[in-house]
Amino acid sequence: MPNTSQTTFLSDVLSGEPIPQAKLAYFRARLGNELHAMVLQQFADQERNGKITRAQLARRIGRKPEQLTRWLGTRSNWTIETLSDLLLGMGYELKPSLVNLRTAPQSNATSQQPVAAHEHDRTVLNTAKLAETRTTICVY
Amino acid sequence: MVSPTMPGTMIVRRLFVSAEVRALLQGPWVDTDWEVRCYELRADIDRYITGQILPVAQEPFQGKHSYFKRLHREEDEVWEIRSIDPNPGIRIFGRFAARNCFIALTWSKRAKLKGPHSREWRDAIEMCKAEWRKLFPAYDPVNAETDYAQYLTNYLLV
Repeated sequence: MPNTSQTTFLSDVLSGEPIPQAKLAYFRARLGNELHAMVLQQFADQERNGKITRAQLARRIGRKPEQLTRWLGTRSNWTIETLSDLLLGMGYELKPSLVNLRTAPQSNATSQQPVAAHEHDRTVLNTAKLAETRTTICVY
Repeated sequence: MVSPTMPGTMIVRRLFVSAEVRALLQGPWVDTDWEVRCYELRADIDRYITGQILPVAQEPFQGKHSYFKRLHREEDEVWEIRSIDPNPGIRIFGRFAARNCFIALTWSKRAKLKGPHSREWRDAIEMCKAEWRKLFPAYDPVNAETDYAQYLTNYLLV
């Protein structure tokens, strides 16, 4: 049985009724961000490993380096052509897969990545005033 | 702490928000258009929380196309999350309390801030600093100059 949070946020998406404009906008932006991050991650990995530079990628797809910098910085003005060219320039093509929202996971979890001791001390920040700012966004 | 909008998503980076920023993200909103814009902002915020790679500007007056930018003067350690698409652009101002721990304190529509070096920009930065001092009088934000790895993981300098 889905929990209350999932039911609330996705209920109007999955109900069969018209989807609110705000939810449509959220998922459009989410998809754009996912695609941008995917390309950026691949580029960052290849650049770090010395397999490609920005100048090389720009040249391979027939673009100026400044344009590449803009594309890496933001998904604004991206088109399907942008996505295809950037991936192809790095030797990839996209094979989309689908997520069924009706059967998606139900709860969030925090990364289990270890935190260094000094970072942990800073992040505790156990002051009375900090407690005033702690808030959880729950709209679902 | 802000959770990702979609259930079942791993929290990789922590985001704490002031009441002012919480209201921006959670509503209520003045009209449908603004609600739509704030939901798009939520998707941008999710990108930070879920650990996606983020473009980070290397200089305060460069990196027009970036997600995170440290503002001038760098020693003030005021950063902005830049939600630039679509219009109107939105800027969320805050400071890093630790690596992958951003405290979002204030926000503004980009249009209100006007040009670089404007009084509006200076006021926005000072207001963020003032909010930090109110909440954390005994703590300084992360101050690591160009060692960006001390601020967050998984980023690309642009």
